[in-house]
Amino acid sequence: MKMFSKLPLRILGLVVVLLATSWSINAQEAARLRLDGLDKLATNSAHKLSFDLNGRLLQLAIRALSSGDANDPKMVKIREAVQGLKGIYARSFEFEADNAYAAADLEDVRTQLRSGTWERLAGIQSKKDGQNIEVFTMFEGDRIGGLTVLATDTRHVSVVNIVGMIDLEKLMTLQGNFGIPNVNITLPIKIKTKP
Amino acid sequence: MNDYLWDGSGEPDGDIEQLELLLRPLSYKAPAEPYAVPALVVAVPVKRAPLYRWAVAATIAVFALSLGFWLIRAQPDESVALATLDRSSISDLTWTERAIKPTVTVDPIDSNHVVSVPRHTVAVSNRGDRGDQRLRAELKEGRVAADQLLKALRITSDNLNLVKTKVNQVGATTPES
Repeated sequence: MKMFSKLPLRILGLVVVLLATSWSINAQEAARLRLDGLDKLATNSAHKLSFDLNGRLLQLAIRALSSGDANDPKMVKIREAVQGLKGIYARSFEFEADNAYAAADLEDVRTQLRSGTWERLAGIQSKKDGQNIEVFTMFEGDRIGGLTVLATDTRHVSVVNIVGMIDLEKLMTLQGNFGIPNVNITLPIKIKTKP
Repeated sequence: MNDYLWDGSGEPDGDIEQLELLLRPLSYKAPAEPYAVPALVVAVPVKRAPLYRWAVAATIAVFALSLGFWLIRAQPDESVALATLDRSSISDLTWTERAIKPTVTVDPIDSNHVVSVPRHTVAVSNRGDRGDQRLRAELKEGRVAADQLLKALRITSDNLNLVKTKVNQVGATTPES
């Protein structure tokens, strides 16, 4: 009889656990952008990259990266950067002609990034090249739980949406570890100074 | 034959009478009322759980099952997670650098810097049984996924560094007020 009298409490405990799991999943889902709207750009693009990595595939990828030389400092950096990631979603298109896409094509993504959960961390814009790079972050407490990089110019569109705990510093130290050395940037930016 | 010892008939024996006299106080005395066997099972009033508890339990159970079902349905479908990847068309993903060509000079690629996904990290026999085939398929899938992961990280890292560098340079050239 005691077992029956405790049944509601046990079920209540189960519900609490399920709700906590649901909250965690919803937080991850909130950081994931819907990128399907960009797929129409593939029809005009010369080159494209489109993939969604999460769940088992992401684990397979991390396992493949982890199976290399454990002491290789480059692989160590990469492994550290991908720890805690829940998903990476990317769309990248290259066009053969200028302005082969319309700004409206990106509006769906921008609308999602304008929602209250995303914050625009930084952005650069070059009118000369039509280049525009924006970085958006989503915080879970005091940690970054989502990152989106939106990079465009007249012939390129690239969106990378990363879901999970992200260490920006570690992510930035990856440059030069993928077979491409660090870029040396010469800025044409001229800022008027007061006489 | 004297049956006194057997059924009390016949001539009494003196010694036996003496013994009977001594043992008589210990003889069985029938009670005034027959012994009543107590009932082994005592009827105890059954204390049932109130009906509202069962109603609450049933509601919570239905809610929990619905929530669990919804959670299972809400999981991303990994089987279609990948990949409209057109590998033939992504032989060169350095477009990020080329996109900023007017303002960026890229050093020649140093082959020593190339990071590739390990190809022979797990020994796979050539027996061709199902386990090996599945392992090979997983390895292949993992390598493709790792390639994609690296490309996405490269795009992200390069753009983050570009933004950081430009922001820093703009900050450095801005006159102090």
